[in-house]
Amino acid sequence: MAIIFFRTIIIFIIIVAALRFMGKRQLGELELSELVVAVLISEQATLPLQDIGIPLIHGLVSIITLLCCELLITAATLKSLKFRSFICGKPSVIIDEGNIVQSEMKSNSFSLDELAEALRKKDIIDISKVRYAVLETDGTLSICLFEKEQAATPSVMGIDVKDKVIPVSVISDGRVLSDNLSLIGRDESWLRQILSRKGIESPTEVYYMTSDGKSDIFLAAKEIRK
Amino acid sequence: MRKEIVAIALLAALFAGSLLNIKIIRRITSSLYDNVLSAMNCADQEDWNSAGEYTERAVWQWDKSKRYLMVFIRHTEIDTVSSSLNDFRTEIINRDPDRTIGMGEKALEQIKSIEETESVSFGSLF
Repeated sequence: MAIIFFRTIIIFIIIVAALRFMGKRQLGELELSELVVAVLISEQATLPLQDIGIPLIHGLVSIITLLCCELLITAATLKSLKFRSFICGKPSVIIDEGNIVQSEMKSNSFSLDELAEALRKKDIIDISKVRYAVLETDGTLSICLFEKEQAATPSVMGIDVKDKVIPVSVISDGRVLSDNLSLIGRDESWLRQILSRKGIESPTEVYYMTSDGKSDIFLAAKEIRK
Repeated sequence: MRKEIVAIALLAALFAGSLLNIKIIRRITSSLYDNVLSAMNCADQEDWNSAGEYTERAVWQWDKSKRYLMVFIRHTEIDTVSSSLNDFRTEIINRDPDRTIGMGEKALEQIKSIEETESVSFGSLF
């Protein structure tokens, strides 16, 4: 019992560190080699946990080896395009100038139902609006609509707009985020002034607040518990 | 680039460690094998005192190596060798030549299987 407990903690720390080391993408969109590594790591990690007769080092050696291999493969794919296309494959153009490329559909084993589903997930019901659809190496579909179907932007409409400073969180659940405050060029005394204007005495009374340092302020006060 | 160097260094360290581990296990098993074999030869000539000494030496050596082996090889394999050595020792105490040889051969086979399992060969890889 104690062995399983300690082994679980060790394996947990190692896997979290490994995934953190591999980067955030591994948590969502996986390339083929990354998927293999993720599946193998999870499989290897459970072996010493299920059977205490298997030395923990067997699992650790596998995980460290997989992690190192993944790092080297990633480095090689960044250096060589040929190696990258060998390991990750190439994106496939499924819809070209509004036409479904049937040969690409077949070679990627991508059915029409799957195509329709992927388009619906992108809020596209009418396939005739799609100019290009590219099946990416991680299995997601990227879409480019015909010009006339694209949303009107200020530049298309000839409107001159200035880029806004992006608002950042300055108070989160009563805690002042000093780094974000300095990011928008403000300090805590400014923050207190803004709060007092809104009738709030202390940041601890605020649930969430964002600001761009100027006029754009969002504030949600904490609910009073009954 | 630093990440890649660390990865290569880690892989190299693991590879070197694996080779070193094979070497250490080979040293442990070959010495154990020799002691059990000597004990069997003595038992065959009905020299029970020498056979007992060799067996005790083998058991002592095995117990000493267990702590290291527990980290690197399956615990069931360690338990199998431990029980074979104990059976072999019991037969030497009972002074039954035929059963002693039988148990000795069984122990030798299991000691050899540990070495074979850890060695890298076509068979062990596939």
